Formats: sequence, structure tokens, C-alpha cells
Amino acid sequence: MRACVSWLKQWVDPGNIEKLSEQLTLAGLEVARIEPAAELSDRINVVIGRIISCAGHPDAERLQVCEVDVGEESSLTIVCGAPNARKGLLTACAKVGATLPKMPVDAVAIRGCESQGMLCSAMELGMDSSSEGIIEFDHDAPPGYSVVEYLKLSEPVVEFELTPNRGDCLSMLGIAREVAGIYGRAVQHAGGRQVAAEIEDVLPVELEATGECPRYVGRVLQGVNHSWKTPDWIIERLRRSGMRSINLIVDVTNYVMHELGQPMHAFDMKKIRGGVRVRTAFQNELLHLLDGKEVKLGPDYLVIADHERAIALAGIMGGADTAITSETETVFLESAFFAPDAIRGKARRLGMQTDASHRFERGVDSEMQIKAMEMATELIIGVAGGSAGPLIHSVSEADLPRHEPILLKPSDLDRVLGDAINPNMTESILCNLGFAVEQIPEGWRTKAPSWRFDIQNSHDLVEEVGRCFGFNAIQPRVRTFLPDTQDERETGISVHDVKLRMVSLGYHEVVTYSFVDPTVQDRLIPEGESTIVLENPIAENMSVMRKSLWPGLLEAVSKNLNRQEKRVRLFEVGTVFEAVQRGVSHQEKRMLSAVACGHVNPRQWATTETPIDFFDLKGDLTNVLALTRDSSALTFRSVDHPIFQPGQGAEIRLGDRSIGLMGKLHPAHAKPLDIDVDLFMLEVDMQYLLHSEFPQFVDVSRFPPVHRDLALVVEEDVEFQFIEDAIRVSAGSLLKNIVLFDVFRGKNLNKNTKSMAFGLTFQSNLGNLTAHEIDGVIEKVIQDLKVKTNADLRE
Amino acid sequence: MPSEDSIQSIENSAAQVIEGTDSLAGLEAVKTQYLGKNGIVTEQLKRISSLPVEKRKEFGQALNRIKIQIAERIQARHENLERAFLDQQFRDQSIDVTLPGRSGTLGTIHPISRTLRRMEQIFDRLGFRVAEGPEIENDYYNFEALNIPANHPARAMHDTFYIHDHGLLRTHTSPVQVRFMQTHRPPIRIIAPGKVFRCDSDVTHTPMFHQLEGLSVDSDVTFADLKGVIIHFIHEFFEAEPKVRFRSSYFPFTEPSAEVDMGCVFCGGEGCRICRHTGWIEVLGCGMVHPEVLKHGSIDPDKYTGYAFGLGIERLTMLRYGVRDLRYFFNSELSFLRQF
Repeated sequence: MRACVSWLKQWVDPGNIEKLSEQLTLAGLEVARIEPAAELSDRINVVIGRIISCAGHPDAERLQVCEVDVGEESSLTIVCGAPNARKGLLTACAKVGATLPKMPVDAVAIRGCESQGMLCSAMELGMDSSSEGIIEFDHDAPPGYSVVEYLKLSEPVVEFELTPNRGDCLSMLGIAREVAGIYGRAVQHAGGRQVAAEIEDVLPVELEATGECPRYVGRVLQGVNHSWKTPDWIIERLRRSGMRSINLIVDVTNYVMHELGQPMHAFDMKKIRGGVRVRTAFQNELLHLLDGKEVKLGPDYLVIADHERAIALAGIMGGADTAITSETETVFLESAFFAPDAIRGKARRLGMQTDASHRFERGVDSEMQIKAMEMATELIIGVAGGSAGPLIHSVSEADLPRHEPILLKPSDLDRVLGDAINPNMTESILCNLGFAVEQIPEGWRTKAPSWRFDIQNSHDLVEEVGRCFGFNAIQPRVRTFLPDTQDERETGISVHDVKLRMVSLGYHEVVTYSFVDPTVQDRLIPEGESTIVLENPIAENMSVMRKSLWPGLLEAVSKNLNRQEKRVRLFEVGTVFEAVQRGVSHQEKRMLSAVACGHVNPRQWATTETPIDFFDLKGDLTNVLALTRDSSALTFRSVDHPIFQPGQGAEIRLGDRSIGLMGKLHPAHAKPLDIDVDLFMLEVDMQYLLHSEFPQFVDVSRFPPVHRDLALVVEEDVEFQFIEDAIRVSAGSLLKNIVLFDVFRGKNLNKNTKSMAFGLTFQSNLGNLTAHEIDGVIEKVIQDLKVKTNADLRE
Repeated sequence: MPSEDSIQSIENSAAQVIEGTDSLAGLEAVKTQYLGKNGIVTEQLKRISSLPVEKRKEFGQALNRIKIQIAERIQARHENLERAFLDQQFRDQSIDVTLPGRSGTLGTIHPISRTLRRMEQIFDRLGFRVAEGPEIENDYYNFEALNIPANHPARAMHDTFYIHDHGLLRTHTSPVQVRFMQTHRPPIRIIAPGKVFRCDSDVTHTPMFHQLEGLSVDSDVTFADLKGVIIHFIHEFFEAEPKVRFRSSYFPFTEPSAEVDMGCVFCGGEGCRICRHTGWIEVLGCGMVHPEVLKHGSIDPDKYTGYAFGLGIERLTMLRYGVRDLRYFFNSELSFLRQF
């Protein structure tokens, strides 16, 4: 909503504009900017000029040489290329030395003809973003007079960013009321004069949908001369309000809408068959709109119809068939009240938004229709002549919005605002805003004015009082509270703790989008039926919800590799989404996911550059899971998953639960993602990382530990985990620790066998262990392994 | 007969000789020279018997004293020489201490997480606990329970992503308010940080971003408490005490509603690029919980009042660290991430 100050002054004294802007902003009408009405600021050298004569340019077909009267003794000779330059036209003339918003004006020769200035378009004056031809002023504009003064271009225009609850402020009157309310001033009564009917023509109006349209005001205007140009002052006020001049009738209805907040529509009366019916649309009823679009309607749309068809989409846009044209002889003007609920969401559903729908959706003053009709009639007839018929007024009083009395108690204010408000202020604030206020023993009995659609109960009144009193006048109060400690346990692990562990292991946290490319995701994780699909994605490659953090992380790796990064370690903690039963239920899980490629160590001196492998990532994962102090229950099971290179994927298990996956990205996936290095990745369900075991003291042995090494040769397909478990079982409680320190193949070993070397540590809490005791244990371990896996001691 | 003076001179000369010796072998010779079988001190000791009885004690004691002193001097010198000899050998093993230390690398926490963490700490001290809610929401919690019925003009401000037959991606963290109220009794003091989604993408909008919601419901909560918490938060978060103003605004789920601006901490309110020359920076939106919302949360609006606030994490992170482009947060570039 843009408000030019001179227009506002017609209604109320705004005082200092800067100060007013701050006041209004604090009271909820946010001022986005204050700017001059036009960029043009040269008051001296840009003047009104009258074209005395036009002659063709000797050397250029499209140029004319104009003699221009600028109110001085001698006229100026100016070369002009505008198609509308013609004898008698009053326009803007920038004299030599003038400063236009985009350029200075110098004396120049154009194709050999001296030009003593320039005739200007609205665009060149900085009044519009585009224009056709030079600006045209009213026939009574005085030549030589400053254009800046004539159009009052230096006055400020205030642009508001209004919230959707304040539809009542979408007009000059509405802004004026707000100014008056804040300053306690009066709104001047302007306009609203009754226009006497000179003709008797009427059109029958039937309100069928009275709930949707409780009031419809119409009027017939005959003999309007369409050749009349809209007066400069109306064009200029519309321009400042952000509207273009179209023709007199439309300009006037727009003007009235901007001044009073009442949208209007003008029909070509001749094209209305029979009369006007306000009804809901029929199923699949078609309507050709003014903007050329054809819409298919249904019973939830409200239309203005004649006796044969719909002729306008009520409160949104008129129809093309009944639109006024330059041939229109008789105009039928409409000024109606449509209920907000009848209009809400309809325009948006059709992909449109109009000034009318914007206002009706938010609520138009139900008492404004007649005033607006009188004002529009007066303006049109005043400019273009013609005669008005009587007011046609159809109303269903029972369906008009009713404002019930609302009781406001002082305690209502105190409960919400604290005890900051003086009761006397409450009354004056509400009165100034147009509320009817009556003091009663319990407080105040109030009634909201007809233009307010956002006042239903005492809370709404509290807000009004609060915003006008000023929230800044309320003293802040700081209280601290003892938080509820039940959910904060020593054994709890925060997501942040997990993140810090990842950081200390060298991983950078990223945040990637929760929606991903379906082709990428389906390739990596082929179970497509559990994918959740967005109905209105922002782009095809962001159209499904992620089922894993991997697609996002892999894209991030690819991007970094392309930027010459060699060693990339990234992690993300985020939600993944999966349909449990498509369209019915779904599941959200928070996952920790990490990817790594490049060397084990960063490039540095005296360190060998070893490419990372599965076990580096597994080590990192073990360190993260160590937070839970429960890593003993952590196991890995080889798994086939299409995302992994065969033989290098594992299911991560905690106890008997599968908590995630890790492995090496299948090179067939790496290539399309533009990843040309070995990449290892893991993903774990976060819920298993957020709880740790409470430390439990175990007596420290006073007796020395005994170390023994054991090198075993086993078949290639025997897994480490199996041997370790077997050793633990055979060795019993004396075995305190077991370390795998070497895995060896080849040389003097048989093919398909490998050697694994274990370091075993034995210790007793009861006494020194003898060599004999240990020998016995080792012997048992070897015997058992021989039986279980055919393991041999390595020679 | 030897005098006190001559004994002292033996000690003095021994001290000189010991200090002047710079090899372990030399020091051994000095030891022999003074304390050996025929050493200077030993020779003197042998003479005691030739002295008159009354002098013997005094002379003997003096000699013994210097014998100990010389031995101590030799011992100290010995340690010095030995240490110097070792240090001489270590010189070959000296290193360039400016060479870089060897280590793995450390990662970084994402700036959004860093900001959220900081906010959680600030609100934790005020007694606010973290609550969470789903990212796929339904129309009821995202809109209706928040007093935004179908076709409400405020819906136009939320460009909602819809999921076929199944709901929507939450457009704000406010749904957590009602979910929490339905399962907890007052007093309620929570913050709900998280991801939110809107179907909008340009230089200043990403289709996914983060918010932090705050909610407090109790029997005596007023706008004064809301102001207290918000001002405290701004001072803590920015580690400065800029002016703070509350301007009336509109959100369907709070009434009264306010937008909060703080005096620009970069230019002190003079006007700069960051505050777009207004001197004010918009920080968050807030208000008193709308009675309808309390009702949806099964809380009696006649008994309880509450306040709520919501802040945009990306915006505050940008302000705090001077990040100039929103899109950096989601493009995962290491050159950006390493800065945090």
C-alpha cells in the first residue's frame, strides 16, 4: 500500500512524516520506505512546454522539429522522436542545462538540426519504468511552469507493508483513520455527496447468494464521453499508488478504491442481458475474464451473472464480454460488499491476485458501498459529462457482518500486558480508533467499527490497546526458573557430543537439503516404493524426501573433489524419511552419516601417504560408538547392498539390532557422481548413540600381567570375529585383553590361507600366574581352534 | 706451625684449581692432588700429631672442614662437566622446532549448529528445555491449530510443500507448540529448534532453513516476561546491549504480536549496509499465545497465558559471523566450512 502525503492530508493532518512513519511502524503499519514521488528533482529547467508547431526533420523520417513555447519570449526549437508529439500538445520540456534522473540535457545537433532541449516521457522524468511517447498534460497546464511544482513531484510517498489482518488500511481513508487514532485527531469528512438522478434507467438486481453478497449497489451512467482523458491529478495519484492509467472509467474506479477501499467494477450496460444476478457459479461454468483467461468454475465460486451467463467473477475480476470499450455508451457501475469467506482463496486457486480480491479477502467496510458509488459517479460525470440514474441498492440486512458488543475488563489487559496500562488511556485509544465505548462497572462495553474484521473478542481489544499504547512502554521482567531435570541424565549423550566426536576425528559437518534427486536416490537405494514424493517440488532434482543422508553427502563430496580437494571427510546429522504405508503413514529417523576419501593422514612431512580403507572408517565409527561405553556389543556383519562394492559392505549391529550400514561406494555409482577415488561411507541410526552405560568400578589387579603372542593359520574365509570369539571362550576369565597385531598372506603359506597374529594378555586378581598355568590355557585355545576352524599354529 | 690463614689459602687455591679444570680426567687429578694419599690436605693431616696437644683439636677441625668443602666442590664440578659433556653430545640431535607438528586434521561444526548450540545454552540458563517435532506435518498442526484456517490470507505467506495424500513439510517450527501443550501441563518453557521448508528459492531464500521456536505458558505470564526474555537473549547472543524495540505486527497464532528490532550492532544505529541504512535490524517475531492456540493445546485460556517467539537461524548466523550469502550454508564447500 502506497500513500502519497498530499492525498493523505486531505483526510488528516499527518504532521512530520518521519515521525509519523516511526509511530505507524511501531503500531503495526510497517513503513517499508519513504521516497519522493518521482526521481526528477530539477525544479528550474524542466518546465511545461506547449508545442506550437511540428515539422518533419529534413534528414530523418521519424524525427520532428518542434517549436515549443516554454513561457518565455522566444520559443525553443527541439528535435523529438516521439510519435505523439503534435501541435498544441502540452508536455514536459527539459531545457539545456536541465538534469534528468538518467542524464543531463545539453544543446546538441541531431542529424544536423540544432535541438535546444528535450521533450520528455514519464520514464525520462523518472516517473515510470517504461512509457510510450512523451508525457501529455491537461490542456490548462501553464507553459513555463516547473514540472516538479506542477505535479508536486517532491512530495513524499510512503510505502506500507501491511499485515493480512489489516485490510481496513488498504486505502487512504484507512491510513488516515489509523493516523487519527494514534494522534487522537479527527478524520475530515470528504466526498460522499449525493448525486441526483437525471435519468430513470435502472437494471434489476437480484441477490440470490445473500450470505456471500449481502449488499449490492449499482447505477446506470448514460452519455459518458469516452474521449475524455483522465485528469492529470488522478493519473498522478494513481501512479504514486502504483497503478497505471487505463481509461477514465477504470481510472476513476481505481481511484475510488484507493481512496475509500471499495473495489468497483464497470460493465457495458448494453451487453448485460436482462439484469444482474449475484449467484454461485454452476458446476463447470465457463467465464472469459478481462485478462483473456478462461476459467472453469464451480458452486464454491461467486459470480455476477445476467439472465443468461456469468459476466464477472465476483470480487476478483470482470468478464471480457461485458467489459467497457471505447464504443460503450451506457455504463453500469457496481459497488458491492462480498463476504471475505466467499472470496478467500478463490483467486489464488485460479493462480491470480487482483487489487479487488486482495481487499475483499481481507474485508471491505460493509457501509462503504453507497459512498463509493456517489464518489465515482461524481468524478466521472464531472470529467466526462453524462447523466446518472438512481442508486440501485439491494441489501440483505440480516447477512451483513454484525459487530456484537464486546466486554473488556481491566483484568483482561493486566493478564496479557502486565499492569502497564492506565484505564483512562484504554478508553481514549479505542475511541480514537472508531470503537463505540461505554464505561460500565465491570469495565467497558465496546463495539468495533464496520471496517474492522479482526476484532472478535476481548483479546483483540487488548492487542489494539497494547499496540497504540506502545509495547516499548512495557517494562521487561526477567525471571529464571529451575528447569525440569528429569530428562537430563549423566548417561545421556547429546547430539552435540556426537558431533564433537566426529569433529575431533577430522570430519566437517554439512547440512544438505532434505529433498533429493529421485534418479540419484533410486540408483543408490533401489527400494523406490517407500519414497515420499513432493507434490510441488522446487525442481525435479529436489523432488523426493531423502531416505538416507548419503545422496546429499555424495553430492557434497563430488562438489569438493571438483574444487581440487583431495581429502574429504564430511558428516551430517539429519532426518531421513520413509513411507511405511504409502499415503498413510511414514517414519522419520535421525541418522548420523559420514563419508571419507583420500589419504589416512593429511599431507604432511615424514608421514607416509596411505589411502584410507574400510578399517579407517570402521575405526572412526568405533571411536564414536565408544561414547556409549558399550562398544563390546558392537559387531559387523558382511552384507550385500547395491550401494557398496561387493565384499566391502557391512551391517553395523549393536547387540541383536541392526543400527546401520557401512562400506565402500560401488565404483559403478561413483562414476556418474563424478567421484573418481575410493570412497567409504557409513550411516547409523542416532537413537542408539544417545545413551551410555554408567561406569562401574572393577577391582584393579595387583599382580603382574603376562603377555603371549599367538600366530594362527586359517582358511581365507574364516572371519576374524569368529576366531576372536573362539579365543575368548576357550581362554576364559584369565584373558584380560586380546589384540590382533598382524594379518599375513603368501610367502610360505598355502594358497587360500592367512595368518593372524594375536597378542594376549592374562592377569589374575588372586595371585601371580605361573608359566604352567598360561601354557595350559594357550594349549586349550589351540586345541579348540583346531577343532572349530582347523586352525594351525604358524611355524 | 700452619696457621688458620694457610689452611684458608689451601681452600682458596683448591677452589681456583677446581673451577679452572674443564675435563673429568683433570678433575680426577685435582682430587688426587688435594685429597689423595699424598695430597696437600692429606699431608697437612699427617702433621697433626706433631702439633702441641692443645692445638691439635682446633687444627684438625679446620682441616676436616676444608677437606669436605673441597670434596663437595669437586663433586659439583664433576656433575657440571658431565652434564656439559652430555649436552655437547645432544647438539647433534637438535631439531627445527618450527617444523609443523604431526597430526590428523580436525573437522568443524556447521555454523548453523554452532548458532543453535549457543541459543540452546542461553535459553537453558533461563530454564527452557529443548522439544522436538516431526518435519513432515499435517495441516492441523501446521495451520489449523495455529489459528490459520483454510483460505486464510496468512497461508499465502507460507509457500507450502505438499506431500501426496499425506500432509506437508512444516513451514515453521510453531507446530511443536501445540504438540507439546497437548502432552504437557503448565508451567511450560521450551524451545524447539529445527528445519523448516518453504517452496521458495532465490538469493535470499532457500527452500529449507532453520528456526527456533520458544514457548512459555504459565498462570502469570505477561508481555513483560516476553520482553524480558527476548531482550536478555539479544544481549547474550550478540554480547552487546543494543537498543531493542517491539513493533506491533500480526501472526495468526499470537495476539498481540510483535516484531522485534535491535539497534544495528555494526554501525551503532548510524545506518550501514547490513541494516539497510535504517539503523535497525529485524531479529524475530513474537507475541502472546492466541487463546485459540491454547485451546488446541488443551490448555484453559482463562487460567493460563503464554508467550511464543520464533527466530530465523540463518539470518542470525549471517549477522553473527558476517556471512554474506545465505546459500553458503547448504553448498557444503570445505573452503567455507573450515572457517568455523
